[in-house]
Amino acid sequence: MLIRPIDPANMKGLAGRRIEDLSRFLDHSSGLFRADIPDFASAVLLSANANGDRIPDIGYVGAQSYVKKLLEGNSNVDFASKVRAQDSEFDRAAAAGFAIAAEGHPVCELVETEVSLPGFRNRIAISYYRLICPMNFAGKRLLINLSLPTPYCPISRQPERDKGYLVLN
Amino acid sequence: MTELQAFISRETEFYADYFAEGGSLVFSSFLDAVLSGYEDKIHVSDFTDDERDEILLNALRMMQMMEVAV
Repeated sequence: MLIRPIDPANMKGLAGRRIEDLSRFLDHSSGLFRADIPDFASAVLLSANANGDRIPDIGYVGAQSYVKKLLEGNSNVDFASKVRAQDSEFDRAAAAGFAIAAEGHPVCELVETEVSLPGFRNRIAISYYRLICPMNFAGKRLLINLSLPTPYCPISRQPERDKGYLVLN
Repeated sequence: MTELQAFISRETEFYADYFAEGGSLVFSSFLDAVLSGYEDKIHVSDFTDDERDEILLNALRMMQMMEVAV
């Protein structure tokens, strides 16, 4: 797994623009939650109790969030534990960003890793942008995370690849 | 107000004690934002059982998280 910081302005494609929009909104609202927050359906809200050892507890998982899509069919389970069960190294590496955000510093990163997905025989490489920011929700501190696949992530191109395969066969 | 929004309003009042002053308004805004993620769905009958469970589960997890948040 490779995680490296990236400026929202340097993120590519629609994913980059969406993350930049949320980042700008949180800057302007001073981190206060508002109903008009952009892309909330794709976001995840987590506990700010983040020590860097594990991904914090998850409160809200957006109906169109990347996490939900990755773990489709498991909407009634603890998402964080599901991710941990797949790869403990992933959990530790991914947790660092949440700990930094919990200290009040927004985190914007490019994550490149491999995952096992239902229906896929082999592990597949994925890459996504992630924004993690502290959020003031009803006077209490939470973390908001927006993760979106990069334009060159195989998952984001899967429907097109499937269609191409069907045409050729 | 839709049937679902009325339900949310009742639930929000019920859980108001969990929040600091003004917190129940934030939670109501949160639920509005959650519902806006289900495009073109307005009435309870527009949502599938899974979607309704998902909305309530999100609300429940948020309540639990708010209890221990500082």
